[in-house]
Amino acid sequence: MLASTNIVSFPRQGIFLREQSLGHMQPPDFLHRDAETALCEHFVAAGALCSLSTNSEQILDAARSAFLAASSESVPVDFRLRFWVDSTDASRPPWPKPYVRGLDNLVFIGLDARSSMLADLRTRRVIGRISPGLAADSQYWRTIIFPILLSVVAGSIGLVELHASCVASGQEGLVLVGPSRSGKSTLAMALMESGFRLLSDDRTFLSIKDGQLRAFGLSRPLKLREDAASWFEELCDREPTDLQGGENVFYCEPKHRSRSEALLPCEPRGVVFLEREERSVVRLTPMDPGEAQRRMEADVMAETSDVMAAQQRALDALLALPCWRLQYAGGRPQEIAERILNSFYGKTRTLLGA
Amino acid sequence: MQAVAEKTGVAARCATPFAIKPESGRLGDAARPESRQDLLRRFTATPHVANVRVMDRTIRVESSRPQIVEKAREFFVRHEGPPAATPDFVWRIVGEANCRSGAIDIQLAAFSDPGIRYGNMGQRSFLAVDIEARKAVAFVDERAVESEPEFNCRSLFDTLFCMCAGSLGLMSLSAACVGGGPKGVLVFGSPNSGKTTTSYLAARQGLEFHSDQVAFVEMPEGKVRVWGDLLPAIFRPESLQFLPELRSSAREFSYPDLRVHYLSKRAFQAVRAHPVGPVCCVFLDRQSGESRMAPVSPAEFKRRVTENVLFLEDQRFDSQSAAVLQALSALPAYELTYRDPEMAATLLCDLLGDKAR
Repeated sequence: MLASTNIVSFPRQGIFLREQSLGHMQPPDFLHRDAETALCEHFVAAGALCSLSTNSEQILDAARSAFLAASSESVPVDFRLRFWVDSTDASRPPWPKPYVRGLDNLVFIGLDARSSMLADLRTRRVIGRISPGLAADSQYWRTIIFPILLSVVAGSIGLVELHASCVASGQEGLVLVGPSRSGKSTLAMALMESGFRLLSDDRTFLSIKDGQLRAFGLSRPLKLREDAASWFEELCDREPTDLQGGENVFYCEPKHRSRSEALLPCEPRGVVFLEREERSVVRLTPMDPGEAQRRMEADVMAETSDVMAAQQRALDALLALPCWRLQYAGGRPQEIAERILNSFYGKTRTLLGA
Repeated sequence: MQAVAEKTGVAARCATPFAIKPESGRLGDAARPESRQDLLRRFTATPHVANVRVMDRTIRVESSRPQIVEKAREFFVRHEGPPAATPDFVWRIVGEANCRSGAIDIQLAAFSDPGIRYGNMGQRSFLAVDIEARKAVAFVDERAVESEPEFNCRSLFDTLFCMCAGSLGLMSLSAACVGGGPKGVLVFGSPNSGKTTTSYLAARQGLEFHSDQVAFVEMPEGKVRVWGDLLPAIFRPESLQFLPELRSSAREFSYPDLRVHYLSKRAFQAVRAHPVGPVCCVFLDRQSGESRMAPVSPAEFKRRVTENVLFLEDQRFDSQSAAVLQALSALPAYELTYRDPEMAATLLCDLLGDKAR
């Protein structure tokens, strides 16, 4: 029984490790030094080039659906992923809430008792040992695992991650910043009805490339709570697709001309800070730059000083854009979207191709 | 922080070389800006510090909790000595109340890549080692450090040490070791071959009980030296049939699929841990037939010892391991086929000479 798995119980590790080596010329590979991860492809994730090595076609498939494919000759990469699927592990969904903790450059991601990852931000790589059940859950990789991975490595590869939605018309984008339940996804959906494309409904990545501020999203479905869905005709007759935190939610796949369109970056042209109000009001006012900076800083994850210095350029570029405060309560999101279009983009309607 | 140290009695020990010194401002590689959120806890302060001496190496143990540092000091107490000015490795350990992995039978799953390695105990407790940075980090359940270190907390420190051993210039072998003064015998054998029992019986005959599970081998100045392990001896339940005294001296622990008896080796060890120079290696083979001891050829010896490496190490340690194997293969080696463990123990004593007892 002991030799059937590579899991080691702490108190009897000496016994166990020895058991493992029975009948083999080699010592036990407790650390899986020689784990086979020969399948390798390259991708572009939030503008960063990464390689993914694995022994699982299913994980590769999940990555293909989440990122843009890149040439294998494209070296050097910005970060490396290496995931080994241990066929002896037998965990099944539902998966517990991921547990993420780190110290200094090492960040651990516990996906369940048997599936986990370690990110080394110093060498910009993430390695992991995954159960077959988790490897097969491509939707979970696309909606949960890959976004977490990118959040963890973002700073080390020169990205700033904002808790924000982002929509764009052509190359020009609008960033919607706000805490959970502030209505970012609902407003993004309403703006999509007005001709915008969705880059991101929850996490937006910023970087400076060729001196230009760029925003990236991930290929994720947009999440709407049940009450918000009632505003949208296309959702009226549908049942919620998921239960999350005790709430019914819809996952909507954004309509794009092509899959790669969803992953194309945009150049942000403005920022809207969403604030839910108690009393019925819709007010869009310019935000004081100092206040915008304070809110932005509070939204970004703590990093080492060298990473923060690199991030500051992107944050400064974003804060140099027009920043607006949207205070609202109730009201049709389409009307609020129209208000934004009129007030915020009124002078540059060509921005929307209108 | 100082108040916490005083309350726990830690401050009183600050004058010793192993003092746990609350240090102000240790916040990881860089201080976290107050304006940003540390969602990943990467900037958790570990102000409680002790430079712990282990096998003539110095490990700087830092923790968010003074109890964890104190447990580390207790765990390595046999190795204490003046620490080096520059630590050989840094361990940063954070105790969390909600790791939910307090059960002693929790299992460790491990994985690695060149230069980094990690293991997790359940979903919410882990340890990770950055070999190049000579640093290990861990998040553990606070409850794991509340009871006796040898029986609960030991697993964390022992596992961390095993995962750092290569970087510390040590080769970890699955072997027992008994000694007399500065000399020792390395005892190899498959599981249930009687390493623990034979070594224990040899210790009862007067030898020092350095190890029953893992031997750490080093090559300072070209000479091979062996350090014993850090754990209690582990006996299987059937050993109690012919070692009835273990019923009172050993502690029984049950796991879902295994029952074992832990015996502290302290009664059979010098107060201070010390390395031994191995005079020979013995491969145990318990059989019902006649007892005999036969020499093992150097080629066969190398093959067998390779099988007894604790686990495959990072390839960067290959030359270090090869040097140790080369040195060990120069020693006399024997296969000891035996039926009676007492007789096997006597033979181990004989190999070390009369003075050993």
